Amino acid sequence: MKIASKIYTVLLYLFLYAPIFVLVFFSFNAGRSTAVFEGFSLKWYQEILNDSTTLIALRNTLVLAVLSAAIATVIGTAAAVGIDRMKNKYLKSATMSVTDIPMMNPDIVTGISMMLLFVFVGVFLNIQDVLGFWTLLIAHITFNLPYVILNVLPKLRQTDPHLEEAAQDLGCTPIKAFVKTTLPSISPAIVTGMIMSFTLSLDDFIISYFVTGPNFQTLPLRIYAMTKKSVKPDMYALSTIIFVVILVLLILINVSQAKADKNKQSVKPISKGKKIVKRVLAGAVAVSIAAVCIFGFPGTDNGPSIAVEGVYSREYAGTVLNVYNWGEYISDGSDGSLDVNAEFEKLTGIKVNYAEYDSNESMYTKLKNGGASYDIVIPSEYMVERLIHEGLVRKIDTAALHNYDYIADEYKNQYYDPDNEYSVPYTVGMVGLIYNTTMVDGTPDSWSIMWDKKYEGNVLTFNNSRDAFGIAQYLLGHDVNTTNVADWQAALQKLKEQKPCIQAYVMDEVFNKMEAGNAAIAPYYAGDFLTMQETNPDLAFVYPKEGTNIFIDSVCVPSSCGNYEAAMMYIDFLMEPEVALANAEMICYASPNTAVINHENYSLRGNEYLYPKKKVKVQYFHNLDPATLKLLNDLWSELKLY
Amino acid sequence: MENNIIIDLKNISVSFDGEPILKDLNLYIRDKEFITFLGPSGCGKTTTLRVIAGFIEPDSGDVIFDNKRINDVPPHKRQVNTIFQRYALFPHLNVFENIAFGLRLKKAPKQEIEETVTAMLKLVNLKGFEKRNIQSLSGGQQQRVAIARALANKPRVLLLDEPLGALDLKLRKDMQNELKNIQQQMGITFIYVTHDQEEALSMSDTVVVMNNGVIQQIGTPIKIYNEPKNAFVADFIGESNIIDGIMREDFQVDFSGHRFECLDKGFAPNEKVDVVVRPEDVDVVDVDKGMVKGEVTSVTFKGVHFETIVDIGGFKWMIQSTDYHEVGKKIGLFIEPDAIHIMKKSEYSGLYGDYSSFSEEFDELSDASVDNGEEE
Repeated sequence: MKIASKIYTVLLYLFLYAPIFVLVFFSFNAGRSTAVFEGFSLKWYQEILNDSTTLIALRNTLVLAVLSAAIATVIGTAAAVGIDRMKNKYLKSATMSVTDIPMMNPDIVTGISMMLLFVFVGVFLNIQDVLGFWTLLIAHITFNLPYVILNVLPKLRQTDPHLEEAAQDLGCTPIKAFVKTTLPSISPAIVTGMIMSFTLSLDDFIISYFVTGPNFQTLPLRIYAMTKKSVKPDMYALSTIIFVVILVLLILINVSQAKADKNKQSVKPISKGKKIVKRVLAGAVAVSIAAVCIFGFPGTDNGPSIAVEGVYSREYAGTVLNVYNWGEYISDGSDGSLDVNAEFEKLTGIKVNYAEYDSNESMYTKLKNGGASYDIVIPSEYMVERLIHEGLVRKIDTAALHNYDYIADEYKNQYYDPDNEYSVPYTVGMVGLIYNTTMVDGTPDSWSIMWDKKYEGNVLTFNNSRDAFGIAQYLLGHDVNTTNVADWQAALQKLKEQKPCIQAYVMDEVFNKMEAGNAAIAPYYAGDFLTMQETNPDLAFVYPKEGTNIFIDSVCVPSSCGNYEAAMMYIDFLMEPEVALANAEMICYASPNTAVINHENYSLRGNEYLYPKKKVKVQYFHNLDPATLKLLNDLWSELKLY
Repeated sequence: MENNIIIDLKNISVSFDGEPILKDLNLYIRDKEFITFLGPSGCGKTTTLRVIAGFIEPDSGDVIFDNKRINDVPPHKRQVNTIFQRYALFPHLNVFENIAFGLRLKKAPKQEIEETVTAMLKLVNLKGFEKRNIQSLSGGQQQRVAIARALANKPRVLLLDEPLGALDLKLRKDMQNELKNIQQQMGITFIYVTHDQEEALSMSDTVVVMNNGVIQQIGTPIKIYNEPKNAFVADFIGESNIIDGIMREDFQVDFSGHRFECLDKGFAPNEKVDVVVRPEDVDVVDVDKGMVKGEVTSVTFKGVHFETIVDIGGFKWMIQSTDYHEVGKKIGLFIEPDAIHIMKKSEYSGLYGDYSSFSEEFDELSDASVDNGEEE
């Protein structure tokens, strides 16, 4: 029995802590892979200290968590006291149920309803940009409240109601009596409620996602937005730091608690509650100080800077520009690179509020719902078409842009914006076939290798319907935007045939699996292939002859834009050769900017994968009509269940 | 006499949720007196106490303290202090801080606080307990701390709400004596609430017997015991045989088929009355020498005496005597004139004083319920 329980304990802790140890381990990895350990390095720790966007997000998260926990604790405690003293039993239980409901509600319901409320109030009071810090704070307080009440109420019930009477009897006013008797005895519950609130607020994503605006991004939002590219390993370093700080705090608390217990007889006993409060406050202060010290004053580091000639006036200094971009989609000063936003701010005096999204669709939702105005967004081509169609983006006077001529002609006049009135290309990428040369014979040139029985269980494919079906459609020679049901059915049939070969449907995991040599073949973007190849030199890349998908992410100006001139300056700045170069180096996708493509310092200049000499046959994904979209979703489910 | 009165309750009525708790209560309390409110659970005794302490505002009537109406004075401004049923000591403070609580609020100088706390601890025999945790104290010790805490504030009046209810019997007896001593030493008024008649009789200068929010009788313990005003009081205070009787004339009463001499007078001729005979006042004699005769139906040994139930003409008497009489034996009873107390008929007539349904178990059960459910 004893051995069994020991084994159980060991297993329990193993499952609890193994993920954290893996994370800590890989935070010291010299490479960026989480599959291959390339040697010990503190590189990511260094990087996190220079990652101003992340540090600002962290600071925002801490500020928000501390404030919302503190306010929710005060309001929640007051509410609990009020509920506890209600005389009417039915009213009391009704109030408690109402209090509990927000806790039971799925976060997504809370998030959406709060956003609607805020947007409505914003419209009602005629406030532009209602979503931001204050709405986040209100939302966090709201979802924290029930937890505080739920903690405090039972403790209140246990408290002897005569204590307060005794204190009054001895000369306390009613309020003083509460402070001197009830408060100390419920303080452990208050502290627990506060800690719970703090934690909940710290890692809330869903509600925050809906109610925040362009000028306030929290850490969970930022990390989530990183899914366009894989999560940056400096996040592991950050998580490790947070984990260690919390661990040290907990140990300190326990040690001092043990000491206090030992000395209890000799020391004048202070209330236990007070002690806990003191410790938690001390802990919170320590964390904040540590945060401020370590993460200092983000954005003041001295990366390289550039000299740009005089097209940028300081006329709009002091105004704000809200930029909404993909996660990890700009050069941000990490690894000694250029901090594009900081440079722009320095040059123009315009404050850049930089927020990130993880998909075209989530960006679209934000634009569509209103409540926040953005000045710059960078959607993919099919989304540009949709935004234009729905009037969510405004026209840009490309003739007024000084650097527009840098954009290669092949990316202009595309189907989604035939007259270049709305968009300026930012990055370009194409899907190709990544394969491991040690596992694949010869040089494949066709998607059909993904159907080859030889590689059964060694093929990865996209875990996203459009891309996965696309591959079958290239092979079948169909149009990827077809509205013909039979065509889609044929593609499904093709994919079903492929199923035995498939090891997994993946997105981000493709990095780990290919880098570690766990799979032989995977379709992915050329830029990401370059990242993988750094870790695993056995990988090779090819554009299959049947054709492939191309995306163009372009800069647009939403119609809610309130600072058009600054937005125009920003677009110009992004096309500035040095800036575009820094971005291209950082993002690793192909640049549409001729000044970059031909730049002598460009490390990927003439790269055969990003800039293939031979023309690649490409198809764009267009917006599908609702009926086709539904068909696709149904077929996708059918495939998954097959 | 008038100057001597410290608290005067005039026409006090209190009700909760439309349920009357106190009904037009009138009572005055003399300075330095030990007065006890005695009654069963729900009789309104604790409510009266809380009216005096200021935790309950009466629906009508006046609370007079030192000739001033204090209805609107909040509890923390009244010159009374309370000892609560379950002590209500502050668990987060040690013994010293509990006792010093009131003084600290008054911003008394440090020197004075220390002196007072030390004196109070001495008074309640808890010297050297200053730094102890409340949770580490026994019930009796907690009780003493509660007393010390209340007295440290030097109240004019100390209110005690069933303070000994949670203690075991032996400890309770000791504390009764101690409380009485403390009251005499401090020379202040004690208002004591209890449902324990023995406690009330042994400690009080004055006992106030209450039932259903109405005062039944006010008087010294001896007077209350010997001359209960009605069947309720007679039954609640000690054991009583309460028999229907007819007052033939002064000093002559008929009951149980016999004419007895008594010491009572002033009733109308042939007035129906309640006759009280205490069980310990009955002498058992041979059948043929008895004024009334009956058969023993049960006997219980009680230590100091036997409790014998005797059936006399269908009415069950309780008799306490040191002699044992086995069940089934026919015995005679002899009752002296001064053992007989005559009461006017009241709403309680016929409800009490017959031991035919007497059951000890039942008695204890109802006692326990009194302990737990006291007018919360």
